[in-house]
Amino acid sequence: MKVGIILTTDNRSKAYIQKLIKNNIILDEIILMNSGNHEVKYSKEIIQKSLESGFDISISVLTTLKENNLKFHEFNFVDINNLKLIEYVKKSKINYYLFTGGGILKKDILTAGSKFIHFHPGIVPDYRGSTCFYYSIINENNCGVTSFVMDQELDTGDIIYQKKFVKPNHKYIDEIFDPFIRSETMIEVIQKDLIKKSKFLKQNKSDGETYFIIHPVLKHISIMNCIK
Amino acid sequence: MNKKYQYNEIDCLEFPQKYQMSVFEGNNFLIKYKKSRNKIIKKIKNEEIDIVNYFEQNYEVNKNEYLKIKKKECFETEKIFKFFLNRIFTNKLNLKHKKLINKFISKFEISKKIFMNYDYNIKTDSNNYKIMKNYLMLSLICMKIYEEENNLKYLNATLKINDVTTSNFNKILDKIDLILLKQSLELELKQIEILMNKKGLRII
Repeated sequence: MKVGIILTTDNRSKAYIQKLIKNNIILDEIILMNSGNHEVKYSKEIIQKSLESGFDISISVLTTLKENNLKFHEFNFVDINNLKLIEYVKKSKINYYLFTGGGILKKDILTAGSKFIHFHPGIVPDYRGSTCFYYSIINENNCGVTSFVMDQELDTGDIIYQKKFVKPNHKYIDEIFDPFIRSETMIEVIQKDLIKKSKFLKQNKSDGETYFIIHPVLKHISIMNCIK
Repeated sequence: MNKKYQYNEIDCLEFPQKYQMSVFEGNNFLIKYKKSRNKIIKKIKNEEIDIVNYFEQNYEVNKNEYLKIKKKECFETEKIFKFFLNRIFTNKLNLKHKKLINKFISKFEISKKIFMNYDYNIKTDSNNYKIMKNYLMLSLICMKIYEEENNLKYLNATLKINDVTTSNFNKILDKIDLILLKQSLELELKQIEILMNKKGLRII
């Protein structure tokens, strides 16, 4: 069973790769989708919060890869459905790719030969949708991550593992908390060998709730609920 | 940081808001939001109009429009929404109705538009998405369901629809439409306050 990872240059990927290294986890392949966007400069406060969450937001994915002499294949785009990536995946011998990005995978990439594992920031089926953790923080004062094998629909794939987290005590939800909870779950999935055990749980696709992108008013209530 | 509530400053139908990765501005943002909504509410005159009675009018016509879905025919959105509001005000909204309302919410959340006509699959070839009454009615439908269920999906949809309607306030001339807008904004503000109170938060 071979497992690889597809990284981008975002904060989530920074957390993923740094935590893999910290935990001495060596994957069979690393792909980096890099469209060459400039790195954002972060304040001391946010860097400190990221360090408390187990990664350094100020260090780029590329720097981490190079400084640790990790072999990787780089593409100059960020698009999981790109034809060049599909052709590459078709030739690879990887069974599962951990996919750090978002969006829906189209049929061509899903049938390229490898399966893709996503770490979704919500306990499915109750919380589907990319910003569902904000809703979960309002409703339940906590949130969770579901690791699942991706399919063509939104957050409906077979469940590998679910983990709950208490709400954060800071306001950097998108930048820090989201990468933190997803990367923590990824490490547990790998350390518990859950991919190789392949005991995945089927979802009933008609169950649960899909939450659309949260309105800024509700997002503010959710964040203020964390820092009150 | 913006000085004004920025999500209804420009026509949201012409330039739809995406709401992705919105920036956290703290309590000041909620003050701006409340101020913006109240400013519109104050501009609407109090009218003695019985909204419940309004949605009782032409009930059979609206019901027949709803039944077109079963017959796999195209329908007019306005009539269906009137039918739903009648069902809500008479406590007769059932699961089938709600399932269809959820489809309209999904359509709106994705396109940020509500079209004049749809087919039974809630697909459309209409180009007309500028009928304000449809947005006003869907907003009120969502608020009424949220009052019953407290499912944030409905409050979220209302907030976005009300950004559309308030960004087009100058184009809303019909008396009934203005009353619908006022009711929907007042309910939205009330529910936001209730939610914040539940969480131990206040707009200060």
